[in-house]
Amino acid sequence: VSGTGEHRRGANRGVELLLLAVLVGLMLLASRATEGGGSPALAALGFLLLAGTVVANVLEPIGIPHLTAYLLTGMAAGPYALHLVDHQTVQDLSPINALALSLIALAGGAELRISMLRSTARSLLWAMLVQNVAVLLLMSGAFFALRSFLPFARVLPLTAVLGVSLLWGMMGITRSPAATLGVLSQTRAKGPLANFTLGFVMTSDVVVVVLLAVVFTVARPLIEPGSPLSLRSFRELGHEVLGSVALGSTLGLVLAAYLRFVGRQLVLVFVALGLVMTQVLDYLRFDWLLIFITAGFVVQNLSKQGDRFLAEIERLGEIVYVIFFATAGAHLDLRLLGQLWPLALALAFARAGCTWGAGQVASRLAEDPPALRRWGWSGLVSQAGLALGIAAKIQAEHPSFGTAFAAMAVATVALNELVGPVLFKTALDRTGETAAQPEPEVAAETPAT
Amino acid sequence: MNALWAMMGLIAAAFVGSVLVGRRGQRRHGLASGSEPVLVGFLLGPTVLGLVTPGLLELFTPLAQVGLGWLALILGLDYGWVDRRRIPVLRRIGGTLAGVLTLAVVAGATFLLLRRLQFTGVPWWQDTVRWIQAGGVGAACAETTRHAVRWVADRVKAEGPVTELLLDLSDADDLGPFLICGALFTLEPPAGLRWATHPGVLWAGQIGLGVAIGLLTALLVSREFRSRSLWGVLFGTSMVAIGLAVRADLAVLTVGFCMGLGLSAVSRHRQAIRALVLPAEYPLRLPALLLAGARIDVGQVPFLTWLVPGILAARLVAKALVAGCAALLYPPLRRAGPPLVPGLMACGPSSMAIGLAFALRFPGPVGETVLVSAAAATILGELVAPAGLRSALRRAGEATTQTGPQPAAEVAA
Repeated sequence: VSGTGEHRRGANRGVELLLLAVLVGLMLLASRATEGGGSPALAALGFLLLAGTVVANVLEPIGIPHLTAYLLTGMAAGPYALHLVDHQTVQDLSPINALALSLIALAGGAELRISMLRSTARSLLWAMLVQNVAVLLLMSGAFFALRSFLPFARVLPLTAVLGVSLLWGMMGITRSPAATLGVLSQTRAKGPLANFTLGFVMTSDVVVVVLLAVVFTVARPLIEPGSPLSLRSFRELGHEVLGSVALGSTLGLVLAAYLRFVGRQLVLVFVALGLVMTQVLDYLRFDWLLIFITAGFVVQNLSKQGDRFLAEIERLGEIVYVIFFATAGAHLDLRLLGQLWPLALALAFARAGCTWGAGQVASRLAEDPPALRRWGWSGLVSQAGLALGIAAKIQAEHPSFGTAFAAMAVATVALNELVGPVLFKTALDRTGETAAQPEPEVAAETPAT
Repeated sequence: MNALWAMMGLIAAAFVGSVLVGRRGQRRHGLASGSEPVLVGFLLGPTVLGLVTPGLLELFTPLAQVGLGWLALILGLDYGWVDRRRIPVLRRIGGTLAGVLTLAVVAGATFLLLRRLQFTGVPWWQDTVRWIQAGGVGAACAETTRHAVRWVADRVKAEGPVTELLLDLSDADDLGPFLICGALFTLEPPAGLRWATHPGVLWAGQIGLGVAIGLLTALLVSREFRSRSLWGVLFGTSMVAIGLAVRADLAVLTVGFCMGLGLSAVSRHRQAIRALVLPAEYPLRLPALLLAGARIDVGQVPFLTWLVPGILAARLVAKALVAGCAALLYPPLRRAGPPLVPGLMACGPSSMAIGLAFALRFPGPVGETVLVSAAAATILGELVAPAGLRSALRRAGEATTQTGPQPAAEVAA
């Protein structure tokens, strides 16, 4: 029976691959046969969604996480490979991406239960301290050590290199809430490792925002000698963090009230929140990721609507993750990665090593259980939008070296984005936290009469 | 009005649409045809208040295309079915013929009117622009909306062979107009296509594309896909179908409808898919109709005062022919009597969708003529059809209650 089941599954994967090939052929034909008609964004969105879903399904048996499959799909379909999705289309899809990320942040906040945070408080506190401070300093050191191999750093004075190294170290402590949630959503893992990683990645967003202000304040006089030590960043930080938490709490309470008293068409409410609020909040200069995480947290912990809220978001989960990661894959500059890969690989290795080392130290200090001690670092390797956002900010504030810095960051983040989820999923599988039962299949109906 | 507020407005419209639908998918309030948003859109549009500018409408064109494609997909998926009951083949053929007959009569009358009002010197068989214009008007005026029939039947608690026949015919009459839309779109070479292709090949290509993507969807969902993946697959394939049609300047309605037909014909999960997408119909339809209303610009329609009454008169004649033929072939229908003719005049979402599709593909007098005709037919249908249907069902002895809203207890159920 098992052999027959395996055979059937193998045949299914074959058919799915064949269908994917048909779809790719259709898209290639469309791109050759059409010119100057309507926007290609709709077809591209559909293709990424469909191809991502099929590729994830096909690669699942060999242990590749779904979101890595989505990324690979985006990379293959993107402007640097098959060119089924061009640069302009990737830009056109950015509002959809923002919508996806806001839903991921809402889900992330809603997954954080106070009871869970309490049970992992000791581990979280030590990890927060060691993983952020030590990795920041160690990654700054690694960058400083590799400066002679980096063309843009080689020409800078030593003090400026120190400042740039600090900025690189800052990039090193960003993690990807989307990747963490994506893997947890697929594996439906439950246990100490899942709880710890979720708690750490979600709460570290606040720590990263604070450290970012500190690092920016310290690095500026080093990079631009003569510029005063300005505390402007802290004023902005206060506005951003306090404003975001206040707004997020209000939004959470409003959502909880909506769920309690209306409770219909939540998908439309989420779409409105994602598309419209991100535009407004960008204008108000608030951290909308923090707002949505706080809102989700409030709904989960200050109302009785948390489970229902999470279930509604999870209904959209499959679509949201495919769109977010496939678009991110299409966005990856493969040409740049091809040029910078040796250095990017060295920096990514250094970061993974620092994360592992910091994980060992933090786990010993917190007296974590063996599984957490061994694998606690694995979920902290993934990087995505937050790191790229910081790189873009550095590029805007320091045009002299910012472009090259951002290119290096994109190449390194690309590697972490690809490897991180595989590592985290492997850890969840090894610790036995992955759900044993797969999601039920759609039941076929009896033939219509 | 900026894009952000307009987007909020559309989402609010979709929300209101969903609230107006009862738990059993039936509307509790509003007009019989379900075309209230057209009026709201018209008021907000350039003709009246001018709050929705042409630039803003351009911005929302992709959204309108997605709305149209999904509506067509839902209609295709539901074609030949009334809830869980399969419509008999003969009735499906009858409904299709009724739609095609109305289309032909209205299109013919419109073509003659257009040639009479503005003679261009082009021989009639070469007057492609007029054919597109007249054909579009015919397609937009062909349907009898199932929403109005169901709306009236629910209110008078009608049950019986005549009610069933009217539901079946009104469901099955969408096939002709939706397929012919695709043919009309190919009469003017699509700007998006790099290679010149014969219109017949292009038409078959649209149908083939829709059916092929429908079959591909059916194959994908019949595999090991999980319930959560179903949305992803369905959304993905429909976006590919709609996106390819938009990119090549083809008819989104034809491709979407054929995709629904293909999927419905072969999928073992038809009911599950139907259950998944049907709740999305009203929230999608509402913003699409709102955009259709906002696009109406009567100033662009030549000879409006002659053309529109002529089209409506032709539609009345066509529906009288349909009623007559149906009564000849199906004796119980004779009991419904003359009120059946105005009863069949109901039209709404499908007509407006065709009108909007033409307005998007042929901006200017051609598209506007089709859109304004669809709106006029909808308004006339709204005025005469509910009363006609009520009277017809009462005469047929199938209406069990007087008119009025459903009892609150039943609505709650």
